[in-house]
Amino acid sequence: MASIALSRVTKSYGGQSVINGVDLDIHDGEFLTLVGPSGCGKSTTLRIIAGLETQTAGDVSIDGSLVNETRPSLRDLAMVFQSYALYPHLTVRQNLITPLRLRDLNFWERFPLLGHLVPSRRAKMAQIEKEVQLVSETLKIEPLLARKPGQLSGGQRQRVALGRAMVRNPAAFLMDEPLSNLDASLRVHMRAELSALHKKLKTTFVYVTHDQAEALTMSDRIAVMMDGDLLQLGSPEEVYQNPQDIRVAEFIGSPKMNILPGYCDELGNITCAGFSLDGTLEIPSPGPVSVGFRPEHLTLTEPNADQSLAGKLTYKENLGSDVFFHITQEGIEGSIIIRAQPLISTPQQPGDIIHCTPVPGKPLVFGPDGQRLDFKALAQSGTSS
Amino acid sequence: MYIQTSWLGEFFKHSLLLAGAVVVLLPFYLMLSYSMKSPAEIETNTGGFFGAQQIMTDNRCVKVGNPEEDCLKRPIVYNYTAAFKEAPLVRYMLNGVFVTVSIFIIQVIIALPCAYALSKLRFWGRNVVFGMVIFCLLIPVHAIALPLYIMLAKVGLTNTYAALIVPWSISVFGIFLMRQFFMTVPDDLIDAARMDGMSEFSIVWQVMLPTAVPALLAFGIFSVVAHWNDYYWPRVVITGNKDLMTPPLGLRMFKSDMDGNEYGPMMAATTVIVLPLVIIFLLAQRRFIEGITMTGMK
Repeated sequence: MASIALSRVTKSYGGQSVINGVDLDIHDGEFLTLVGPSGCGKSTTLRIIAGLETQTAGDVSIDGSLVNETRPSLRDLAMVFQSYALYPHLTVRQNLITPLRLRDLNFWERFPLLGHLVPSRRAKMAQIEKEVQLVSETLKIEPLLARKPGQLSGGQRQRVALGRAMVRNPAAFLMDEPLSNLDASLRVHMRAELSALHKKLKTTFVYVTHDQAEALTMSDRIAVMMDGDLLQLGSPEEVYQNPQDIRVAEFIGSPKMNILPGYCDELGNITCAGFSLDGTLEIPSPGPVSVGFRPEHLTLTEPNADQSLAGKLTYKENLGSDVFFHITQEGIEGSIIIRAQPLISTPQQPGDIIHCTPVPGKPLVFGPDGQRLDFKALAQSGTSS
Repeated sequence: MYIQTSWLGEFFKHSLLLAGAVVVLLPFYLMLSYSMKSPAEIETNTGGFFGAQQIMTDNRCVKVGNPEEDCLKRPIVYNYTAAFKEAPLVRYMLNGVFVTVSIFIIQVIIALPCAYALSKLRFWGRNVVFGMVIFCLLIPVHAIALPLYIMLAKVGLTNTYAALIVPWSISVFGIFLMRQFFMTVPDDLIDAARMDGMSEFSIVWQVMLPTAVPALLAFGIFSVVAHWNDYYWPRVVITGNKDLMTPPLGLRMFKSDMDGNEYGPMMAATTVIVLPLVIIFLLAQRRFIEGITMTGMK
């Protein structure tokens, strides 16, 4: 168990900056996810924590002690890799024993052949075997112990890789997209298992993924990274409902948030796509703004309703539990997506003009620089959150 | 996509391949055949592939003064026993095994860490060093043979095993081959080993070596075949001491020792010398495929 702190960490490769001063406090025992599109620097951040990369500037500390110069193996962290990185020539059992053997046995006890003659070895190996047994029981991989990684399925390899990290009982687990090589159903299953494992072990987990669904479902807190910057750090609910940056708003949530161009007048009233929002900006910033609506925050309405947004239905996506309407409106790039209950949705056909209104209090307003602006819904609407 | 081929084209292709095969295989056919025939059969070119295997008289045996009935032998037995009796063939072969195995082991000990550094470690000037490795591939042995010989002579190493082994201890080809293979090993595997607490040295021997078995076998075939068959370099550095001769050199000695027309024993000796290579190749070939299927990466 450990807390990990990054302070003003930067990393650049040959003048090209990939991480621009990240400050991050990871609490003891929390499940923190670093999420962002590929190339945003999240994996590099994880590798810097692990000690596999050296930061260009800044400090990394684990449990309050500075580890900038500490070798990866001495940081007491375990890492699970996307490609699992199991030793292909060793059996599962040997794969699990290796980290313990390297940590617990001294040079002479590890020495090939002659090591068996060192008297202290026997007791240590017995202890190691016991720990391997314990972990393989937890992960239910006992039947696989004699096999080699090549003979295992993706999911089984994933478990073994997890086991290899677990046997060391590390201060924290670092996971670099561990589920992305699994098929979709197994991935969903492993999500739940990883969460359960975290609850059981009560150890710090630092999890890297590009999949916002993984981030939302498993984490205590999410750190959204983009272009080498840490944009927002918060609980999944907070990041989803209260994104502080337009890039976070667009990245988190599927289907992604609808962003429409809007305009703010001197009083802070906002008009967007032909109707005005029922609220004002706390601090008016006259000029163009962007207004974001989550698909579930738009509701279908009758054509004659006032303050509605009209558009042509181009595509109806039926997922069974939900139906997504893709509509286009002249003057707006791309399509607007509306989420609706399947019962409501049946009559409309592609080509129809349909109308919708935003759920009051839900629209998010972003300034021209992408920063969130403080938008207050009118009190009389009664539904402001 | 199925391509319609004309039978004439096929015929032409196959006859060309067959002609090539004949050129390559005919010497081996003759070698095997002669090693089993009596001198008379070889001279008159009769007896087919195996020879008639009629009991023949060993002329030498008679000359030495043995009664003729003690000198009656089957040609195949006569050829192969003569091969081992007339020259210390076993000694030559043991020399060959010792030299080729030593060379291969030392080459691996040097090439693996080099290849690891060139493929997986980032350091200043890495590409320049790799460029030099590639450049060294272009230097023919014969160009540096004389300076090498003089150096060995100055330190008094000519006519020793060291003279046969030391000049080959660094194989740039081996470094190049292993480097190319290591490039395909995922970095994650090395990072995982580092997280587990392995030193860079242990990574080379405990992670890279086992994963590189198929590539090492390929390199082993090249190395062993080249040095087992090498005639040029042993001829240069082994000038007096017959005990140090490798099989190809020994074969030459053997030839000059024999009477002019004793082809049978000579071909028997040649067969014996070639045999280990063929066996090693067949064994390694199987292991080679096993090795590839064994590596469970990705």
